[in-house]
Amino acid sequence: MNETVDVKELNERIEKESSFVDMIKMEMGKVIVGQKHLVDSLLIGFLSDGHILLEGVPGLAKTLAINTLASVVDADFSRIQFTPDLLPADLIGTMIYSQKKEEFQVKRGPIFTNFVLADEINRSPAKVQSALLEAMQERQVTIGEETYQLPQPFLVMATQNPIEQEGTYPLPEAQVDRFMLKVVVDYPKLEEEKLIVRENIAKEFPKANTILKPEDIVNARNVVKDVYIDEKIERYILDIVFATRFPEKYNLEKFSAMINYGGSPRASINLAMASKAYAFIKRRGYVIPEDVRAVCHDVLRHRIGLTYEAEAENVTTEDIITEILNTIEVP
Amino acid sequence: MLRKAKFYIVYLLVFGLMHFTFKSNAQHITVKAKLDTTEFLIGDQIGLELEVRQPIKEFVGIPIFEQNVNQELEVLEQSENDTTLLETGHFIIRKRLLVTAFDSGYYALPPIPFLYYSDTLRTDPILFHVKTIPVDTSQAIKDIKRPYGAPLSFAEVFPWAGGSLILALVIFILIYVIKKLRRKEPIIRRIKPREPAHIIAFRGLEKLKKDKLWQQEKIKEYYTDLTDILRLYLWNRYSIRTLERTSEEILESLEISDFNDEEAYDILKDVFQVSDLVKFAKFKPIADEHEKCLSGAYNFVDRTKLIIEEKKDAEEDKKDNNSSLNSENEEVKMLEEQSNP
Repeated sequence: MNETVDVKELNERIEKESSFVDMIKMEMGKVIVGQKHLVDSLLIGFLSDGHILLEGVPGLAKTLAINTLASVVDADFSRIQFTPDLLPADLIGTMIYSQKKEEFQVKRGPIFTNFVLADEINRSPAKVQSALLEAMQERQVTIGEETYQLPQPFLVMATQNPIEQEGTYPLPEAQVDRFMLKVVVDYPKLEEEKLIVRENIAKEFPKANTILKPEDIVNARNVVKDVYIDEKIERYILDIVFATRFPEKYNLEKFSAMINYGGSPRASINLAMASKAYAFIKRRGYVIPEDVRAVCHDVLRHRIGLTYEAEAENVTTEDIITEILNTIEVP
Repeated sequence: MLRKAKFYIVYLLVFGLMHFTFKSNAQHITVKAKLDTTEFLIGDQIGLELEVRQPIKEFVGIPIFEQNVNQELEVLEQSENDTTLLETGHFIIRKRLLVTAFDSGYYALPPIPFLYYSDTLRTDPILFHVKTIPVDTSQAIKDIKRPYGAPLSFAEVFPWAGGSLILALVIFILIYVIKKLRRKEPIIRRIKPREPAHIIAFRGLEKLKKDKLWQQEKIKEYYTDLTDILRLYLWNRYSIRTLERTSEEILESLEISDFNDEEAYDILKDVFQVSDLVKFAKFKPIADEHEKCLSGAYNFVDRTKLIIEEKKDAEEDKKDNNSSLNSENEEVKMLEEQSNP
């Protein structure tokens, strides 16, 4: 009976604590028209301490969305445009010799901030990508002999353009895995685009107000961790991830030759975390299968490696995830 | 002696006159041979045209070639004679041959003979050049390419594929029969007709009631079984894929389909909501709620079972039987009336 009370209490607490979610959505809605999935995904990453990779053709408000989220939170924000000549030191910082003090001084890079927007991450060579991804994983940076902790909250939102592959350095699979979500941004609907045009040709472009402090995010993250996830849901998550590794065990023999490698244990962890965050956004204190299904594509699409057979048959990771969700029994 | 000399003089005169007539006519007859080109590649197929121009009353024999025109030119095809009547009272007869040559070099096509009674008319000779493909001697010598394999046609494959299929089928049937005989089982088994969805669901609900799971504090199992029974029922009854869908998705699917019983929809929604709370949020409803959900499930199945259609069918069958009986009775009556006027 006590357990029942716990979840009930938790539900009430989450309903109270998650009220700011609606506020953030409203403030972001002032600037970003439509793109509800993008806004939800940004909030999931933001609440579950996971980094986000955004992919979409130019002009879909990827950068604007991240900018707006940063402005809604009273946090430090820096934007780094990744270029082929960018160096790791341009990102994390370096030691500079001070003639006045006659010693080396640390010059911190733009990564020392709460929100990092890594624009067009695939334009920079592997060494710069590695520097960023290492910081993302360890949440610390070593300059010279000293190791510096990155501020809390620390969230990297990277963008990449899927159409211009000339002169790009695609992220290696191991590094892509460090992004909690890979969100594919699509074109807005006709009515939404009409509104976008109107807003952009008006005299003043709307601005989002700052409504949160960095400490609020840290608190919210702790509440998200408390969201109850039942054993049945855990099993459901594991079944989904295992189906990407051993499709033949889940009556998906047709994908055996198409999947080169499936989701890692990090995929299972992130799927559970993202489901919790989604339940929180929906102002619920427990995870239901709908939450898992809602975040599944974003969590898994960059974690499944396809074979040449799949490419030859035009089978995408999206198709595989959809088929897995349509095959695995829901608890 | 004089008679003999006379005969010889007449003979010589007639023969000389005839010869003179042929000769003079032969002067109005022309024969020609023409190649499409006098320079062609080895193995190329070109046309050779034979033409005779003659007065209507004359006859010129056009040569027929069996395989070769001469040693170099091989005949592949030859057309029928094509005759054209000219206004001048002449015929032009043409014949086309498709020829080829497999020896390179400069050759002369000798005059082709056309028979004209005892005379022979001949065409002009033609000089032609059979060229070879230029060979680059600076390149290394390459091996001869293997002949291209012709793709297999359906007609070639069909007998083999069909035969193998029949053989496989015979082997399969033999194995099946042997296995069945060894196990002493009937070779052909009667398949039980599929039970209606609501019968399966009612049986499941009865079992759930008897198992008394919630009374043993197995509340999660109780609601899991309850929703499984309803999901299976929906799959059997409406062919909605329920086992791989969430409660919300199942309800959405019902809305999209022709399901129009709002009350039944609300009952199902309530049962699913309570069940989801128990399954995923550790919710423990009061005892009345368990009974309410079970009776709700009974109610939902009862409201949505396929009984209306069955009734209709039965009624229609009854009507059909009655009408056929009536018509039979009428026929019997008529026959009786006819036999007993």
